[in-house]
Amino acid sequence: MAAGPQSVTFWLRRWQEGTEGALEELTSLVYDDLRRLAARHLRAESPAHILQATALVHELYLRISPMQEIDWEGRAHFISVSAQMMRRILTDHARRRRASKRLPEPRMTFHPPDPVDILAVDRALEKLALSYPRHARIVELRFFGGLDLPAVAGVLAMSLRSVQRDWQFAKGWLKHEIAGF
Amino acid sequence: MKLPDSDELERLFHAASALSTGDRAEFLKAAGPTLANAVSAMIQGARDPLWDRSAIHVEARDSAFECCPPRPGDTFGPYRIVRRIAGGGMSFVYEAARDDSEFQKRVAIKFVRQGIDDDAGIERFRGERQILAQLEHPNIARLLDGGTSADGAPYLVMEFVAGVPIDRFAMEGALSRAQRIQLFLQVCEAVQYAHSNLVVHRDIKPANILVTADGVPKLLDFGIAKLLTGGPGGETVAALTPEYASPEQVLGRSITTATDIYSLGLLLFLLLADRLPYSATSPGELVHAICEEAPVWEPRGLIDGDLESVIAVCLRKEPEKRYPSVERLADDLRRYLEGLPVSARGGALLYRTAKFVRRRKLPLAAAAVVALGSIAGIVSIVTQSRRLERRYNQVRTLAGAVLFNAYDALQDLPGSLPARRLLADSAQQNLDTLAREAAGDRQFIASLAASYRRLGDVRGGPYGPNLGDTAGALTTYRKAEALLQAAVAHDPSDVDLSFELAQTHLSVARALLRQQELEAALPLLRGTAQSLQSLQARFPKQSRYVMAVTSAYQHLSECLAFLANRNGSSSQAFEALAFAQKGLEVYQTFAPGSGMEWQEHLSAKYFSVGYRLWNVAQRTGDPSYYRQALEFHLKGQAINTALAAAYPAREGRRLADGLLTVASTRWYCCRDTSRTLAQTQQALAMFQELVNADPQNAEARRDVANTLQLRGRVLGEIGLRGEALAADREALAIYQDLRRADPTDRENDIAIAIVKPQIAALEQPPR
Repeated sequence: MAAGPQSVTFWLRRWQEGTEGALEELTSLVYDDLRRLAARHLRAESPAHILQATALVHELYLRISPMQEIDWEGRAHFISVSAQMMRRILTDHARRRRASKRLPEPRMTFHPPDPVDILAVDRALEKLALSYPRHARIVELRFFGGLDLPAVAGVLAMSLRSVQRDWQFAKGWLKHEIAGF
Repeated sequence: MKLPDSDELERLFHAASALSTGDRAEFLKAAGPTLANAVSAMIQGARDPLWDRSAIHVEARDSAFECCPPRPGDTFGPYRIVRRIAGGGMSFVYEAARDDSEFQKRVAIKFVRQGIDDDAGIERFRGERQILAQLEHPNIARLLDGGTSADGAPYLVMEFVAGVPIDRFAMEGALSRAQRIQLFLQVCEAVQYAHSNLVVHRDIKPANILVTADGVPKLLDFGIAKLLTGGPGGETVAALTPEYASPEQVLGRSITTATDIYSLGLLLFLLLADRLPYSATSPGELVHAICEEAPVWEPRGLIDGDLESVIAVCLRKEPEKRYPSVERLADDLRRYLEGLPVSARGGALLYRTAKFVRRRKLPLAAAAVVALGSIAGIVSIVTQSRRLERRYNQVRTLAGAVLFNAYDALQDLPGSLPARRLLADSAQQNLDTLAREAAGDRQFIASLAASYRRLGDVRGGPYGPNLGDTAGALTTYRKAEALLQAAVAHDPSDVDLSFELAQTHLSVARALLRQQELEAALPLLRGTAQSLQSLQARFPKQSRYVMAVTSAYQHLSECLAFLANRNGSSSQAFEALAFAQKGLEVYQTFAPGSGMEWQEHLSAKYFSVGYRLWNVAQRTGDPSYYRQALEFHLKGQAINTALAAAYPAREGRRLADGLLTVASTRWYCCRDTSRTLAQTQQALAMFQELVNADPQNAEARRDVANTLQLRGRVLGEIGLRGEALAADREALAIYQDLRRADPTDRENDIAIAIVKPQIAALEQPPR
């Protein structure tokens, strides 16, 4: 497929070549891409397609990480921004969904508890960032960005071992915070 | 408690994480109880499977069912969504079609909202699913498939049932009381069958019992409630329907077969009175009524005294005071229909104690093991027909000899697969070119068609060595079919062309059978059998017509037997038997000769009848058919023994096959353990010898696996679990190896599907 001016690949190349303003173009394009992805997976499709749900941020990472021409800081910045955007898109979506949800009818069935609450994770993550900003970035990249841990280590220029340790701690901290002990 | 923001917390967390649970508690004592608890909770929380998924998966799953359920045309694995049937609450049910039609065309898929979030849950779900998939009964909608999607959302694929809920059926059809009871008795049969397989329904209610247009009730969602919500002990009450819940379900106590008996009582009440025996208007009142109050019988007269007694026994609050089995309940209802006194009334019904239920567990477990073996018949059918077919291939005249001789010469060369493919492709091209010039010349068309057929066999003919391309084979057969159909339409009196067409139909049908496209194969086989029958009637003694018509009967019988197993239909099993018998009869009456080949065919036909009898035994549950099956198998094996004595090299395989069959039939009919084990040991040695002679011989390897699998079952049943497990695992390894070699061959899949639950059952500690 030709990489026209509307494609992420096009602007990745421009960025790679050092074209001015390419990163801004890229970021806004990626935001659109992320929203489309979210729309595809969250609105228009069936549960069947969840199976194929991929994390675009991770794909982006895989695409740009071999580009040696772009300095590490630029890559890390770009991926971090993408993960933040993804976080915003997903929490917005969850919030809207919650708002539109009708109150449950007083049915005589026993309802199971809601298994996961993204908004609760989001709120807890804000608190985590106050005391443990590094851990919070890991969570953002891993949970909201969908990066795997080696990729997170790449973005944050940390050893995989340290990322794994921090991730463990962050998960426990967040879960504790959400559960409200 | 608010966590302290400190490096100390982090240090404690990591240090404690590295310790075992016991050491951890000790280690954390020094930190004080509050911090110790917090760190323990954190370590636990870090293990939450929530974190294994990214937010988009979580959000997508949560929102998908709310805002955008599957739509018609969406595909889910091999299934294509047709329409939504029901939805809301815990699950959504869709009608779907299986596009590749490997098993069943029309299915119902149930998507469940609640995720299964831990490995143990998924494992349990899988195990239960396998047990439920074994339930085969005409009044139970079969569970065909299922799993969990990548993000843990479980789904189940079930037989699609077109029907209306039983209460509506009774009301709209204005059924008489006796008719309603008859209908209810069919439901009882299904529940009883499931109970004998150690499966409790747990959610019997009208919405889960659909009656088809033919008036056949089908129970849906057997055991699904446990599958989806139950813990290991299955006491969870989530998602059940309170109106139809038993006291023990409402109270969260343990659930047994008596729970289903309670629900059956409610259902019977509903069918007779068109309402439930409660006058509750709120959930609280309902719970009270279920647990404390006697059923409301007023206004009197809807349910007469005897029936009231029967229902009252079902509805007792204490599970142990209800009928001890569905069978007893059904017996009472039959007595009622015959005007005899019911046991519920005379106080003759023994109040069973928990002890009794415990004692019942052993025979129930034994029954479950027998049921596990019930699809073994499929394997037997396949094995048997393969053997028969090998013979037929040998007598079949081959056209296009030059091309195919070259192919055959390459066949045995290792690494010749690409060359063989090339050869097959160029053969196809040559034939296609020739076909364009074939118009009018009947001789030419006949030989061309025969060449196409042979080429189809090479591509993926069901029984001989082939390139493993069944779909390609079908396409090639269809070309022969088209050529011949045109020619026969032009001159219907041409016997040779009609015969060639019938042969081609048989090839198509065989490929369809191999693909388990039974619905497509059945009418084709019926038509072909009919036309071959009339040909044979015109030329009664001509060997090729006798062979062809008996072959058609054989395949027709095989197809019906598959269908009987798939549909749980005993009528189809009987029809399958009838065609096998017809084949034997025609063969004995008309086939000329008494030589080796004639004997081989006769033996095969005896075994064929035997297998169908076996199948009937399985479908009807009448063990006397196993005895009859054994008789036929012994007749066949007597011939095999004589043949092997005369032609040891050629007939060794046949003898071993027969031995395996006799051994397994003997096991089914008579549970003769020592003899079965001795005979399978002997068969195993014979098959192993064949494998040693030719390690590439896939059929012989499969035979070894089949034998091991039977031994596994026998050994397992007599309690030699370790040995049984070893045999089953060895069998599984062989099947998996064979499947890797030829993924298109469904036989291996079927075999794997049989042996895996056998292994799983053995791996679990004995109950």
